[in-house]
Amino acid sequence: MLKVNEVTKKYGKVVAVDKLSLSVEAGEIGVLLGPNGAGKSTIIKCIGRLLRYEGEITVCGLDNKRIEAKKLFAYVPETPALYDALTVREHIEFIARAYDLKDYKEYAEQLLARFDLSDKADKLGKALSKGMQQKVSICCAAVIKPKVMMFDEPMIGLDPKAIKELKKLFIELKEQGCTLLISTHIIDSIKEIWDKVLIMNKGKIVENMLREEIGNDNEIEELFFRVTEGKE
Amino acid sequence: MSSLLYILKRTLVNMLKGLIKKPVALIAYILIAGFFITISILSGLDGEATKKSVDMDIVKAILVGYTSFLLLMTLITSLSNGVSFFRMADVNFLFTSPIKAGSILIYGFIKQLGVNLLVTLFIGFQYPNWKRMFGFRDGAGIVLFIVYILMVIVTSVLGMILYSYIARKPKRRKIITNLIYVLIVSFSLPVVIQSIKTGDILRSAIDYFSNDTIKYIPIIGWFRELLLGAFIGITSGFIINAGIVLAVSVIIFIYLYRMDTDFFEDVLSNTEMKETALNTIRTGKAGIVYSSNRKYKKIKFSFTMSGSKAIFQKQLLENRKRGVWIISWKTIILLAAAIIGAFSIKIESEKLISIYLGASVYVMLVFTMAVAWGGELSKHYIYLIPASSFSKMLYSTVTEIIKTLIEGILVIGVPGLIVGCPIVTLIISIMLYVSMGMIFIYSDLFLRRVFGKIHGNMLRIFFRGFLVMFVLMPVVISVIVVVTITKSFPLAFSVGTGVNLLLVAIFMLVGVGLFDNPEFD
Repeated sequence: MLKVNEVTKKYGKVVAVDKLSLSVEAGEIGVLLGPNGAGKSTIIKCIGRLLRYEGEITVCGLDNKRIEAKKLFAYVPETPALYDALTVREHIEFIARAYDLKDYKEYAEQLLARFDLSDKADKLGKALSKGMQQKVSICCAAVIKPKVMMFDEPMIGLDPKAIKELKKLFIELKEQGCTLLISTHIIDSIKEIWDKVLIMNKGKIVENMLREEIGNDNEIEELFFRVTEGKE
Repeated sequence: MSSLLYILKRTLVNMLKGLIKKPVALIAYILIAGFFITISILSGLDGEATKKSVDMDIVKAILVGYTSFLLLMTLITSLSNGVSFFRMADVNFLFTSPIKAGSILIYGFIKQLGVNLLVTLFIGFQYPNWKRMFGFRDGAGIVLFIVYILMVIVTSVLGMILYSYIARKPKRRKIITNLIYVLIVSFSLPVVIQSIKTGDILRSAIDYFSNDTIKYIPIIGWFRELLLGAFIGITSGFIINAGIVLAVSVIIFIYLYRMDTDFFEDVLSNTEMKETALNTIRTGKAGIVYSSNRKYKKIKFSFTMSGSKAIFQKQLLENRKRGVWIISWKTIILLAAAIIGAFSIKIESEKLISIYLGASVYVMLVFTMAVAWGGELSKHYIYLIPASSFSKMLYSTVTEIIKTLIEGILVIGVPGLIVGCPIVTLIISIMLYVSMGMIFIYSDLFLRRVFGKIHGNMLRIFFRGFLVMFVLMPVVISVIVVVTITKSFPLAFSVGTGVNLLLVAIFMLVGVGLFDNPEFD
């Protein structure tokens, strides 16, 4: 599970994340909603220990700074970042080696096939379109079989088939007991799959609700505008 | 046109506002400016420097070599990719707007001039050295500055025209390429003939390139005469050539202005490439700006190492695909110069190796704008990999250290063997060279950690230059002191290596924090 306790992140005088606390349980899909500039990407990067912050973050009970914790989580950034000179398959192999994964090859091939990358496995990172790069980025994160997985705007640039496949992957990971935290500002993209909605505004969680507390998907949008813009 | 002036004005204002908001960066820029002014004044006061006389024939030959190289590079770039003064924001907003294309072109030129003013600041870094080395006249800095700007304008415009000429009919590329070959051959043929007659290639080249008739050759000759102004002052020849260059620039510019919308398509793909290159610099890969159409070798490869060692293996794979890392062009040129020197400079072998060490470190300082592994830090993978920060730091930099070692063996070791330098001295010299290289690598990491994002990558590179010079000074002094007292080069080089490694350890201790507490954006 993922636990964030009183985390603050400042860029100079600007407070990007303000004493934020949240938790997402194992086998739960937490969705981080919020307008542009709310601090969603910042908190995700803090969880991934890519930024310095004040406060406490634990992954399956371990401080996220520890090597043992790093083995348990994976992160898919908003903008895919691939190595120009490595092929798709080499990216996966590099990650597998860096994480010291065993028996990953079959699963890696499955992931490549699911995201229509099998025939592009020998293509260089720089030769791929943005959407393709995003698919590779997802495969690199998923191949780790993490206990906690974070996605920052994962559907941007993906084609409809890949979006459908990614949603299926979310459900499968959830069923395997993985904790998922997905940041997005496109509410429609996460309907049907979420378990917990965390709405952020100005660096704070302004609403935190479970699916059973909301009722139907359409109400999230109303809730979103109500808490971010103060509209009734 | 008013909207274009608005962009230029606001860009400048916002840049200044940004500096005020970041006082550290402002102070840094003021310090840098102060440094240059002080150095320029001091070197201007140095009477010895101005009295120094250099062989003008050699100077003329070097200038012809330099301008020919610059022109050739422009032609090659134009044949393959062309040039662009624009950014993608210009393409998206301006190219689609109802503004006259010629006005957009002028805007592009003004922007380019602004960029080049910044570049001259970096070149100015070397001015005091050049002044001392070549005995420049007073005011040479201004002459070089003006000539540099003129060179940028002429070569850029020429490149643009050539590219648009080729882009319209692809078969023209072959004709132009062949024409360039013919020009190269006919330009260098007299040197070859003379060399065969005299058996002295260097003297033949100097005699030919310093010849008075060369000044009539367009661009190469004109710029040779203009650059000579730095050595002999402003003469009538300088003024005439400046007038010719300006007139030609204006004519080409008017032609481009009247071409109207035609250049949009020509610069589009180049702008995209420029954008990629700028991103590469911004993310810390300056110095190894890869063009988007760079070819990579196909290599069958399988990872065998795990954990942070996989980063090292990945870098080996990338370098093999690029086919550049074991011996770079810089190393080949240095090696050739070192071998020629080994056969022609008749001094004590250990002294010669000391000179080589000094020269190669100087080249390292001038040409190593940023370390190649910097790009590693711009991707999230390295921070997420479950391994200790120290091992990640070590394995992400070890390829650079190996590269420096190979360079050291070639540039110091090979000529050292030719001149019969003692093996012990050679081994310690190579160790000193490698430790110098490590200073370059880890000082970069140190500055990234200490300053973070102070004000762009370029300022950090600048700071690194200063830091390296600052820390190398005690190393150089201690080496000189030990040599003077003990007359033992191996001992002096060992002391230098020891001091370097101590500094490297400090840089590593601070730099490792970059992986412990990253600030990844």
